[in-house]
Formats: sequence, C-alpha cells, structure tokens
Amino acid sequence: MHTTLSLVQQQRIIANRYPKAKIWFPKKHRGEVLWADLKLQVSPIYEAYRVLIGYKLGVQPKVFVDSPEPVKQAHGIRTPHLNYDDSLCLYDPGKGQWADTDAIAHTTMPWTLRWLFHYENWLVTGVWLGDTIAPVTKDDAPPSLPGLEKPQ
Amino acid sequence: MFNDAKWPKAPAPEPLDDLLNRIVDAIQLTAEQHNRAARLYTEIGRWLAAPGTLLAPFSPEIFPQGSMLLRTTVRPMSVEGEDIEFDLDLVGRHKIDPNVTHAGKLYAMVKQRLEENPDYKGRLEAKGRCLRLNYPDDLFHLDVIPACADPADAQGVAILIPDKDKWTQQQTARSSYKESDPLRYADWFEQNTEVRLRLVEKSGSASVAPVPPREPATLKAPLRKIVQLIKRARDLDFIGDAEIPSSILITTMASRAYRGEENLAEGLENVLKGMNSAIKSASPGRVVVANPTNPQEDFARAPSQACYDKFAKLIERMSVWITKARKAPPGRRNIEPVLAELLGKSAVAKAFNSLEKAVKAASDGGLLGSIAGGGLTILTESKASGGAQPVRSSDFHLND
Repeated sequence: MHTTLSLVQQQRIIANRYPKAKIWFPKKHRGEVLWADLKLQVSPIYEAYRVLIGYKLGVQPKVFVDSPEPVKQAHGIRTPHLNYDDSLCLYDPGKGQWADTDAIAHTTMPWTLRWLFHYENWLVTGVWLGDTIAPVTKDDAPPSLPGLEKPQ
Repeated sequence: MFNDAKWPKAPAPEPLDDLLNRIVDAIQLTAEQHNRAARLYTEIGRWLAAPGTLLAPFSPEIFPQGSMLLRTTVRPMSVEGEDIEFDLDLVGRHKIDPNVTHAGKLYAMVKQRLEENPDYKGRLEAKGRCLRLNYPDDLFHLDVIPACADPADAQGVAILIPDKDKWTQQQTARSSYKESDPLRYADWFEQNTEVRLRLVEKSGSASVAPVPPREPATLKAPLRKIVQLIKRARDLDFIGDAEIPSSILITTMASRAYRGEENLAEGLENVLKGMNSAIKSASPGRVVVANPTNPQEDFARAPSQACYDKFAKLIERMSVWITKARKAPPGRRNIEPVLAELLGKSAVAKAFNSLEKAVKAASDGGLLGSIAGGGLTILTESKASGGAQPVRSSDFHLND
C-alpha cells in the first residue's frame, strides 16, 4: 500500500495542491534533491511567508522561512522550535514522524502553516501553543546533507 | 428556468469577522454571568408576582427590558480600580389605574414587597424611577421598574413608569408617570436586525416572561454585535466619568445607520461612518435621535454638553479606527494593537488566544484542514470537504 514516493511524484502532488509553487531539481545534485519555493499564509489576518522546502529522498524535508525572516530572539529567548540552522522544527527526528511514503504537500506544508501560526502568536504572547518538540541543536546535528542547505 | 444571476451571491467572507466575533464573545456576558442574572431575574420576578402577596391583586406581569431583551449586553469589568457594572432591567407591569393611583404609591408597594425578603432588603437602593438590587460581588445590579399599562395604548403594550423628576412632588396621579414603551422599542430594534420579535402582548395575569437566551457571537445578528462593540468602546472611553452616553442612544443611532450588512466588519464601518456623519451634519448643534416609540423624546438631549462632545469625538475616532483596522497589514502583531486601541487589550488578546486554542484543539482532534493553495481551516468533520483536507498529526505515523 504505502510505497516510497519519488521526487517526481512529490513534485506532482505539490504542483497540484499548490499551483503557484516554484519547484526545481538543482543540477548539481543530479536530480536527487527537490526544492519548492512557495508563499504560505494561514489566513488573511495572518502574515504571508515565502517558504523554501528542500527534500532529498529518505531524509526529512527541511523548511526555511525566507521572508519575512523569522525573528531570532524575542521575549528574551531564541525563537523556540527553530533548529540550529534556522530551519523549522516540525517533527521529532527520533520518532519517525515523517517517512518517504508521505506527500510533502499533505504533511510538511500544513505543518509549516501550523508552525507559522503558532510562531506569530508566540511573537505577541510569548507562549508557544504548538507542538513542543525540542529543536535540533548544533551538537545533535546530523552530518551535513549536501543540497539541503538554505539556498542563497 | 432558474437564472443564477437572480440569486444574490453570499458576500465574500471578511477576514476580520471571525476575530470580531471572538471579541464579541469576549465582551458579552459569560454563560455563567448570563445564567446567574437570568436566575436572579426569575427569582425576583416570582417574588413580586407570588400569589396571595401584597402585589398579587394587581396581577404583576414581569418582563425584561433593555440590553438583556435586545441581546446587546456587555460584560462588567474592573479597570484601574473603576468598576463597570452590568445591569438588568426588570419591568413589573401592574393592573392599576394611573389616573387614580399615584406613582409614589405603586413605587412604595413594590418597595415594600421587596423589603419583605431579607436578602433583597439588604441589597435595596431606592433610585428615582426604579428600585435597585445590588450584587456588588458580581459587578451586577438589577433594576426593578414599577409600571402599569398606559391606558392611551389600545393594544396595552406601552407602559407608564414613575417620572423620576416629578413623582415625589405633589402631583395628580397621572402626571406622576411618564410614558415608556420598551417592548415596542425592542420590536423596532428587532426589525432593524431583520428578525422580527413577537410583541409581548398584555396577558392580563401575573406572569414572569423569560430572559432571552445567551447566543454565541457566530449565531447573533450583526447589528446586535455592532451595538455591543460600540458599547464596549464607550465603557472604556468613559471609564471613571460620572456620566456616560446611554446605551439606548447608541443602540438607536446604530440601528438607524445599519443597512443590513451581513459582514460584521463592513457593517461596523458603515454604522460608525453613518453615526459620525449624522453627528457632523448636526454640528455645532446636536444630532436628533428620536425615540422610535415616542418621537417627542430625543435621546441625544439627555447627556450634558461635555458628555455629548466626548461621545461625538469617540464616534469620530471609531469611524477612522475601523477603516484602519480593516486595512491593517496581515499579522497578529499588526492587527492586535489596532483593534486594542478602542476595544481594549484584554478582549482583543482573548479573541486571538481563543482562535489559537481553537486551531490547536482542531489540530489535536484531527479537525485541522489545509486548503489547496495555502491556508488552514477548522473542519467540522475529519474528512476532506470543499477542497480542504485534514492535516495529519505530526505525532503519529500512519505506517506505524
């Protein structure tokens, strides 16, 4: 039933669900890496963000918020649930919450929306109501994954 | 054949409406406050109308009037040591002849009946036209208004109540009363909300009419919510003042300016702009706000000049503010401070927090939906509908 989705399948589902998304496969990584660039907005009264999502088969997708860039520090602390590399902490890497049978468009993207929603509320209230998975620190960072660094 | 073009299109959802509804829920009486007020009202009503007691020969008919009847209540609050109380008006309509029985006598009888109850006696405060029972712990008071049917009204709906400026002086019986028509006013208001309320006609026997139920903001007519929001801004603006512009002045002006808008934010903007231009065009004089049930009475005459001027300024500020709020750039950090300027920090924060909690609860319950193209929505069922698809929790995996 559940089979691994190829990058091209992921691309099709994203394009179908988010027709305005820009999707590309960087040549340098010989088609093994997919990037999607799209605007996500929780609702008209919440801000719209430009989000970059990088995916390499078998690795949990990385999500970066490009603009407006997330505030790094507020209420006297570092923004919770932002990983060491400023990617969003959406799932617990130890728990297998995401698998390569999952469509990014149906999981990572709504989870990003949910993250942005709680983030915007946190900016005002200082209380994070979203999932409270500990972000990945530099010390627990997995070996760097070529191709999933935030595009410049 | 049906022509689709003939059917009015539902207005596009206004982004601010959900938030304004949540603000209304944060400023109207809580269910607990409403139930307590309704229970006290019923108990007092039954006490006054009890068979075999002092007033029984006059068959008291008890009914609510004012904001509780109009469903435009605003929650009591304490700000900077100042209390804003919530009041419930209870009318007791008695079968007496106002040409024979002086208002002072009716007033004294109702007072005596209330004093027969030791609890009420301890709470009683004699006011000009009514008998007030104070519940300071609840920031609440209940005004009992002694009344009788106005013989001039063939339908028996209008009432006469003690004229607070006259009844204590030596007067003929009839001149100790003044006209009031709270039920026709409520009916007029209902027509403006486009939902008609049945006139409570004279039943002729002792009775206690129920207080209308509390409605969540999503089920409430927009005009009621508009009135509630303006009243809350008034309460905050006049905090600590000895005199505030009356709710009936606001309610009547808002009703006249309302054009049946379905969207709350749009309706609020149009009403505030309408109220402001009515005030402006009458300036330097005062706007005329005739009582719809008694055109001789002008609600705008009642406030002092200082109070009227401050009210006029508030409406002007609000009419600029609502446009600014509707045009505010998206983002809680941008919208919240604008709304809080006139509706208060606490109610607006509560509204955003209730939205966040609703999304969180939906997410936990599998009812958070993602909309094609972007956006989140709260689903009523945990299945895809209208292009929205349930968002899987990140905390469990379907393949596990």
